[in-house]
Amino acid sequence: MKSLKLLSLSVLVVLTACDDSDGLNSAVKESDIPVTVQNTWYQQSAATVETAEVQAKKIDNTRGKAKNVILFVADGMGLSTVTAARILAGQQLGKMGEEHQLSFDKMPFSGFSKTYNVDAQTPDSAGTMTALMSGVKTDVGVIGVAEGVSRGDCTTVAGNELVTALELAELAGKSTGIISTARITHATPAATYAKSADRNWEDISDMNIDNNPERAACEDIASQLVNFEANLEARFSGVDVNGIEVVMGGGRRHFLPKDAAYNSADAASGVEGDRTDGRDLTAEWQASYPNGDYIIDQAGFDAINAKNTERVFALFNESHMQYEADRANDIAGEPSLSEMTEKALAVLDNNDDGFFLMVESGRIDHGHHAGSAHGALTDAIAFAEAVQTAMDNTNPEETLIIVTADHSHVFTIAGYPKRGNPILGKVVGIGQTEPSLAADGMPYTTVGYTNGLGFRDLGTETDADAGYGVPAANGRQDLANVDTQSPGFHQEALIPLGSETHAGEDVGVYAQGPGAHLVTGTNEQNLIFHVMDYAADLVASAEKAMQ
Amino acid sequence: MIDNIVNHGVIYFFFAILLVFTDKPQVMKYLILLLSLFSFFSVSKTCQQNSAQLVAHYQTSQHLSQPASNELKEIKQQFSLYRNGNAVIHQYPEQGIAHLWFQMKNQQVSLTRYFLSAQRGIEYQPQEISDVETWQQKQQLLAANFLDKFTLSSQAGEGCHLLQNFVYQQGENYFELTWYPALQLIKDFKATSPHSVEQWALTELNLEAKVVKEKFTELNQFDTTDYSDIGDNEADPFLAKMIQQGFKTEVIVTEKPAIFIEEKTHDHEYSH
Repeated sequence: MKSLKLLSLSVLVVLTACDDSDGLNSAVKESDIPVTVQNTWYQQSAATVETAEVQAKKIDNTRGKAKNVILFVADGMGLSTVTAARILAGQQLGKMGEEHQLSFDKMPFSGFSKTYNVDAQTPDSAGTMTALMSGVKTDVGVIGVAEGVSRGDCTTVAGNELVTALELAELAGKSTGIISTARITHATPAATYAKSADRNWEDISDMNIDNNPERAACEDIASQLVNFEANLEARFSGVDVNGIEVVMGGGRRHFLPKDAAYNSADAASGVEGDRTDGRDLTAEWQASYPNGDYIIDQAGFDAINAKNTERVFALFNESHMQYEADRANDIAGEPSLSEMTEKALAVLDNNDDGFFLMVESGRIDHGHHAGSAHGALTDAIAFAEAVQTAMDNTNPEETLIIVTADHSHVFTIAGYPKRGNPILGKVVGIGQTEPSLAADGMPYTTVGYTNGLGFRDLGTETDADAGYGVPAANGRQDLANVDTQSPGFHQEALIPLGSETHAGEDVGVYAQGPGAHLVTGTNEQNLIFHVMDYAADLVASAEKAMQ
Repeated sequence: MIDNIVNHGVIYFFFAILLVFTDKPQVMKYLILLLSLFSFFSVSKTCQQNSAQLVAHYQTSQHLSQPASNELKEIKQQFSLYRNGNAVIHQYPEQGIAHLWFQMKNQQVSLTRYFLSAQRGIEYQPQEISDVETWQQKQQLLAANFLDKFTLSSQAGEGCHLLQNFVYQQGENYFELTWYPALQLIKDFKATSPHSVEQWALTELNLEAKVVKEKFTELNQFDTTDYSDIGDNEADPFLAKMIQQGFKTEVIVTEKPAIFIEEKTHDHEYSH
């Protein structure tokens, strides 16, 4: 009987392959295996194939079809993070979890990126984001420059500067925007607008010019952001651009002088600013753009009337913005990634020529580094919500949305937990109600880390970084009486390190809109730039605008 | 304090000369009254200023007895407290570490840990705890609610010089404290338990604003890194060491000042 069913299925496959119209359902209905075809899983997947068929027919392969491009980058969101975030999001909605779909899970096209840097098997955000934004893979730790550069050597920058998608969009007359929950000078956002031999040259005090006088010839990253328009015009003589319209993130300290007199109302340090050159870049920006809005908190954000706003420069925090789980504890209040995305789109879509927007969820990476799955996953869920916001507020006929990660983390989903078992909980086997025990007689969690600081039990603490302030507890811990689902629980780690590390496996790429069909298969990470270029014809449009 | 007295010496001397050379009782009475008022306001103002800005160096010692072997173990360490308004430095010279605590406007407390020989600092996220006791532990080394448990046994001096002796018995533990109430500062502290004696002694007190500012300026010049950024900086030898090893056990510093509190009041208390 089993052989007969298999034979029938084989025949069905052949029949289906021969009939590409409505053959699948009709052929199946005629079969003698109703148990299979009436199965919900079967029907759902068959429907998905039908949807894919419709999507395939709708593909418009015209170069330059996309008026708008949005690149979502989830820093450190490897595939295991996507899976765990999906399950957690589903469980928070009362589902079992595994069947849930994050916003970008629903996008019609996807593929994989190989994330390695030119000089590193396991990459960092600087090299990977440079690849995403410029189409050129480069070294670890450098921003917007090709591999010919030597990290930390300012003299090697000249001649290695790359052109980014954001710069091309700017040259092409589109509106441009950058959003990050990290410091806006951090590696990922920086790679959209800056050229630097070192990702850490976020302001001039980071460059140690006293001991490296040749670095005086290089401009720190924060200064490059404020001088973006002038620098781009100087680089491409004769062009007239109008600068980045939307900048939202953290990192105020890199824009203010190292002088307490410049402290903002919500300063987290005695002296908030780090700049040792006395420059107040926030004032310089306001002088350059008197019609722009410089804001530092939720109240300022809420006051923006997007339709009448020319541009926004928002620095919500001295350093990184808060983890989503900890956002309510921010001193002056700050918006969610989703809120920032919605506001940015409302400002950027005022331009009839379209826009380019990069949105980074920067703290998934930090949650993982801190060994806090709760911190990382709740930020990943917030990221997915921001993607949904973009999907809801743009026209898929004219807007390419790409969602990806720069790299992965050593985050694992392990053991044999039963379906619907809390993803942050201890492993409970199929048919069991009590946690499974390891060979050492102790329970263990489903998610964990290969390396890092390891176990911490900080109860209701929602700041993942609080884990750095307590002693390391390496090795196996008895979790029998520990609530591993609480926000303050940090998972065990196999190899004791002071900070959990990135991982080297491929990451997912998800896309919808014009050109999205090019996101397929396993490719080098720098391909994504070329997909964006094809979709919006960025290079040609920029060249045309410059003529 | 001595410096301030010297600073005001000229004024005291001026009043004293007038007193000596006047022969009118009425004038003398007013001069004495003026002198008293000046002393009162001067001392009050000075104490207030000094309690917010000072440097206090301590010699600490811990005597541990091992009942099994009858061995005595003595650990001696230096500790320095720098106060500057809403910022405090705790320096541990033997470990080459200084902790800069900053009280934010919302009362949260942030920590930057400086490694003196490397001239580098690591910034931690502000603590969620925002109660008064947390900041008092950082600023005056013991919280007021702990001090409330002590009984005043004697006192001497006045104004800034007022010294109060307190004792507190808690089970087998006996605490003795000599306290400058005007400065909100420990002069001596001794905690005796069946198997250990811990002592703190103020060895030097400096009220010069210049010295305090120099220390804060020195630390502010060091490069700092958010701990959350360490994982992305494997190419930096100093930070790579953090990634590989975290903090080596020999440089882990117990928050000695907070240990004065016999009860652990906060689960989230930093205890590196």
